[in-house]
Amino acid sequence: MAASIGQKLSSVASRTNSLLKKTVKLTEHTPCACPYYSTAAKRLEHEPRIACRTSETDPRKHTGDHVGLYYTVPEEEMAVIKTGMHPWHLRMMKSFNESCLMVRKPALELKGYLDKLNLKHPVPRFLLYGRRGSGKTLTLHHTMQCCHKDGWIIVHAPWAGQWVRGWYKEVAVSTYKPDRYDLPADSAEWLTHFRAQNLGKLSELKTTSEYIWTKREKAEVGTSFEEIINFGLSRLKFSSDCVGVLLKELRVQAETQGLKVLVVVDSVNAFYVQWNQQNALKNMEKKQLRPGEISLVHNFKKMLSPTWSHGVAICAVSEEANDEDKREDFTPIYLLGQEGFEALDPFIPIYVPDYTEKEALSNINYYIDRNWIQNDYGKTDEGKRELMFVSNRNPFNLAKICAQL
Amino acid sequence: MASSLSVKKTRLILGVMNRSLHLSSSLKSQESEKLENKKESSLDSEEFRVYEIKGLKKVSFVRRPERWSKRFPPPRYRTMPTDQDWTDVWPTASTFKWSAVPFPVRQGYVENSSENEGVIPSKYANLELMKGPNFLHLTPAHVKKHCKAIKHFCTQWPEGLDTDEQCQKHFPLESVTSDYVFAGPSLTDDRARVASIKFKLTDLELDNHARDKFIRLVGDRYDPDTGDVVFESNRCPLKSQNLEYVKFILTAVYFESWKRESWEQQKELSDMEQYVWDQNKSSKTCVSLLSDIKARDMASGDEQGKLSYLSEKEVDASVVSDLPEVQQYKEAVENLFNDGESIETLNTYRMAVEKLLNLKLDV
Repeated sequence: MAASIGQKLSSVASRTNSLLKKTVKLTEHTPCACPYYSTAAKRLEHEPRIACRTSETDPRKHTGDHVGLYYTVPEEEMAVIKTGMHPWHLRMMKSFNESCLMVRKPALELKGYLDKLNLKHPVPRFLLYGRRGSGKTLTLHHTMQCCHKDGWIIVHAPWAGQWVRGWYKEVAVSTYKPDRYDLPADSAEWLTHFRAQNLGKLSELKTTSEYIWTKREKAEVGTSFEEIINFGLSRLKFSSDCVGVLLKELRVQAETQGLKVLVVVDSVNAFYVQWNQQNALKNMEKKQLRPGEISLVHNFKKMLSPTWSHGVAICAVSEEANDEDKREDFTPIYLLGQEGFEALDPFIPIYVPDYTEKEALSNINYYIDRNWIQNDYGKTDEGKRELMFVSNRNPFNLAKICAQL
Repeated sequence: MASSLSVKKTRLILGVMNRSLHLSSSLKSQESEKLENKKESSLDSEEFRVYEIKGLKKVSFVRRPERWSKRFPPPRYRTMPTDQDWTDVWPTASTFKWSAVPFPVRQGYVENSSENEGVIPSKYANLELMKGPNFLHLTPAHVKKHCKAIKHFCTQWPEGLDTDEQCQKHFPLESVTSDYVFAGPSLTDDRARVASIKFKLTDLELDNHARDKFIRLVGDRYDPDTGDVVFESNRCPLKSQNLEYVKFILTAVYFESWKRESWEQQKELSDMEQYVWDQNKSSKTCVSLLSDIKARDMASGDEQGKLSYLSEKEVDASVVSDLPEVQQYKEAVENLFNDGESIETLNTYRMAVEKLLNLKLDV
């Protein structure tokens, strides 16, 4: 099997030979002294050491020199970003027996902005955009880890599209406002996610006003966030309201108590563009819901408006959140629509490009290092070049192609 | 061979039967005449005919005078002196004439080496050269001669109109009419009545609404690339009437475009063909955000990270929109919508927002 693939590859290689001959030698990272983390995929002794890692595991200390290199996310910080991560990424990390992320320029740019930020100003909004699979989500994770180290409270919506669609999802009329709709299961899921991301910080935070759930149940002033979350998880009916309470309290306390709040929303265009497919959410009268009618979305939209300070909102737009006829372009205004643009304007658009040659090579070297690429041809200079050509240096494409080697 | 045999046979029959016979049409008329004579003489003299052997007697032929054949003179270019006046040889526009052109020229397509021995055909009877137009009547010598001929009709070029821009500035309206002169029974020409005027749209005094309406009214008479408007008319019988008519059109369209009809007030933001920042929500958001930032800056009293360009100014919609940072932001947003999104326009927008909100990138 391997031999036949090798033959195929070499035939493709001969076809692209003219192209290959023109290119200069691949420039790799200079080797640096970095520890070898894995025990699963042991490299042979005679193979030369390939530099694709950095020993700098603290994302706050990453600089332009680290671009394209992998750093290991420590186990305790992995717990922060793990719950919001796509299962596909987690599976890859499990296969590699370590959790590594690549340092990329957009994440450094974000970090650069955050370092210089005047927190007393209304929340600045950053918007990541880029082609599908170019690494917007992982850039968000990188930044989240960075902020977590700095002691920010993280409010993370891993995939906003989940809140406007779903088969057989429970949709309840809001207990707070009758023309809004709750998603109890999603709210509870988000509460656990929020608790996991901000472990240890929530018990110190207390509410500043009284919240009355029912005639008999209420949250007094000074109830800790932990308790609010527990209430939301035990009384699913009020889980959406709990989310609203937490977000409101965060907005208020960020200003008064100087909390630093990082709001991260992936696929933010789901908040502003109507989802019209079969699995769109409907109310009891079978009327399709607008995103603004869903209480979760409504509350998160408030987090994205510049009415509060001591916070940052970082969003990413993705084509998948839009209807299939609105996925032709990856640019923010096209995906957000007029309404979305007006809600987020003025924002800082940050382009997440596909890999540069250096980054692509680093990625391939990492795959070779993890024995993810086992084919001998894939390890040669020519094979690497071919992988880069075939995947067009798009990170997701590259991963998909390498999965078969 | 077959015909000569048949002749002999007939003669024999004649000799024996002594009677007139019908001759076949295949015989030549000359021969039939001879036979008639012999028949008569034999009848007269009652004697036997003398058999004449062909070729024994010498026959003298009268030579026909040769037909007059056409003698061509050598082609004209062979007899041309080198210092001749070319304008006399080729006075007007005409088809390529190989004999009058004194230089070698080849044109045509040769498919392979077997065709014309692989050589591109020369000028002799070359149809390809005749097909295309030539400029042999427009050589520098010709132009010089033409100029000389019309020079005494010209007046001096006015001062202060040295460049095209100056001409455009002082004479914004350009009218074009044509006269047609030719030798014929009638001097009138239908085409001569056409008149047109051309001007730049920017030369007219129009506001945004009037300009938009003007463009809509004139339709494809306006060229957005050059900014020219052309009105042309041939509907009146006289040139002067047509010229007057196009000037009337200009006046009418100009004043019509300044009018505001009641239904024009119904135009909404979504009907706009261009994104105008001042009318959109973006401007209101910007003003409220800046006033919010200013209030916060005043409250904190912190110098660092302050929006420096807002200090000591009243935050008001009209004041804010005049600030250079806001102007730049406005341009960026309008570009984003009017020119379409691309990484370049998004980057300019990003720069503008950075300046607007005083966000600094520290890499």
